[in-house]
Amino acid sequence: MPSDQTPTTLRPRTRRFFRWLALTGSLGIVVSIWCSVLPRIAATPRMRRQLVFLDERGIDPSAMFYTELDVMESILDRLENR
Amino acid sequence: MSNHSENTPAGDPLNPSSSHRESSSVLPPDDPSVSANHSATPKRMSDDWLAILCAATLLAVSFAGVLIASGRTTNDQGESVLSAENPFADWIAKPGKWTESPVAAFVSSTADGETSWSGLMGVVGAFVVLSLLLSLAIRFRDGSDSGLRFFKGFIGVFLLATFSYTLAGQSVVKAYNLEYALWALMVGLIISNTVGTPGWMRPAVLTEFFIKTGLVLLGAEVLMSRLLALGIPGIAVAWIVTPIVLISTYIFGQKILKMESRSLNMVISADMSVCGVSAAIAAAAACKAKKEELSLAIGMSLSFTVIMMVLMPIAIKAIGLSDVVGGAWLGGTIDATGAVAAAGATLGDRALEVAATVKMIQNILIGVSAFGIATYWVTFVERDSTSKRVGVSEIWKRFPRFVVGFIVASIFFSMIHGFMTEGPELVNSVIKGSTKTLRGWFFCLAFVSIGLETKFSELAPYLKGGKPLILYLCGQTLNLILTLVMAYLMFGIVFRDFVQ
Repeated sequence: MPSDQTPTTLRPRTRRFFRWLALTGSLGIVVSIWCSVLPRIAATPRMRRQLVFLDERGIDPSAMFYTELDVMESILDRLENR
Repeated sequence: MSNHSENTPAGDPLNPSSSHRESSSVLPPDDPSVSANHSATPKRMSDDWLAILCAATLLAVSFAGVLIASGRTTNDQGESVLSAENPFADWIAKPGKWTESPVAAFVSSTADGETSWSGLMGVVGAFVVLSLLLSLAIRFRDGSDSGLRFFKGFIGVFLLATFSYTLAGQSVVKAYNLEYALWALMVGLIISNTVGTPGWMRPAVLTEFFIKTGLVLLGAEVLMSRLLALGIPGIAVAWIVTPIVLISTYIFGQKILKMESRSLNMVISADMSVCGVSAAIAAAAACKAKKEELSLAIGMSLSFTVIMMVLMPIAIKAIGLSDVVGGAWLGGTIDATGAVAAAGATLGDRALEVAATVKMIQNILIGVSAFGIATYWVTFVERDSTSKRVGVSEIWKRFPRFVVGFIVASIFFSMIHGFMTEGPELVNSVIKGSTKTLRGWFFCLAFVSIGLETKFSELAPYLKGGKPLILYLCGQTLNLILTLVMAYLMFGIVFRDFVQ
């Protein structure tokens, strides 16, 4: 935890209150974006088409390594059986 | 990661506080009970060896499980074939994809309308496996009640990692290649910069250890036997251009931009030229980069990946490149693997195949890159300025052992995959059924830990002057030009008929 000995104009209890307020506010913003804004974006026709397009091909655009891509399996099968 | 300042002649000018840190990635503990864990008791084993031990245990148990659970069946032609099964596959998972409600990341509906709790069970299973293994490992190394303190802290860190994975699982977020690393960093940063990282959580904030264990597990996925999937053209694009770009960008950063931190220079060069976040993690660990440097490199890489995955297919269509050449260009330039596939798919199935395969071949370069970077670092960067040459024994003494573990895992699983009958089925089952998921958890835990250890004020000095951004832009420009030339030459002219 941040040290309460740090010189500041605010009293420790007030500082703690503001820290928790900042945490609650940050989490509130995150939750509202993820539970309200992003689902609405996902529901737009263009985005929905894009998501279906990616799902049908087994593509996860956030894959970090080739082993995380489902589509790689069929590609490798084709290449290895050629 | 390290807070050492050996990379820069006069300490770390970018982070004045670094000289007061311990060499471990864990912050100097405020709590005396935590302090006892880190300073009073000598470590029985280094992070590197402990990481190798943990990863080897997971790989061995997983492989043994697959061997025991697999059976032989008879196919339509009457041939006996291996049916490879991983008994841990249903018990180890990460939060899944969701669109409207985050609950869907853990609980889903089956085709016949029943509720499936397999997602939640998988996350709990991953927690049980990781918490038990790591607590025992820490207890074995540090003795006393360190294992219990780690376990208590691990509950908190794992919950934050689960929250990060859930954020990354939202389908719009996934569609734009915003990987879990970014959200894990964000979650950790929010905690550390508001209420501060709780003292009870700190024994489990082990960035270096998580990264090294994850990297050794990643070694099993680096299958050299897949190197020739696209023949010589694939090698030319992924294995000739990439090292040229990596080395040129590093030299450009040192000689022209005169970047103060060699490790930041190297991490940006590697993540931009090789394959984004995974290469950045491997390079950062190999050259002992600071956690802030890895965060910055990953942030830049993910930002430019989003732009490139949208703009490059448009540019390819506008120029009139063939699907095959365009796919090879995408595969060799866009940092992130998933983004390459998404961009390739917008051009067509053939472009997707070539793009994803070129990227896969580039993924395999991670092992060689990590080995090369680690060797260069211990031989030239960390050497004593008074000595002319560093002997082999000195190089071995300083060489990061986890890189050895990474290479050994890669060679072992490559040999099984390449030479053993039904090896591909066994290796795929080991990777897909358990180790890939556990590796993801290790990296996610590592990025949460980086966030928990970082103050926003520590990131600010890295953004001043814009050198990292200039380095990335110049390196990526060189990458785009060289890869286009090589892709056109190999896939469009020299091996055109072979590729068709």
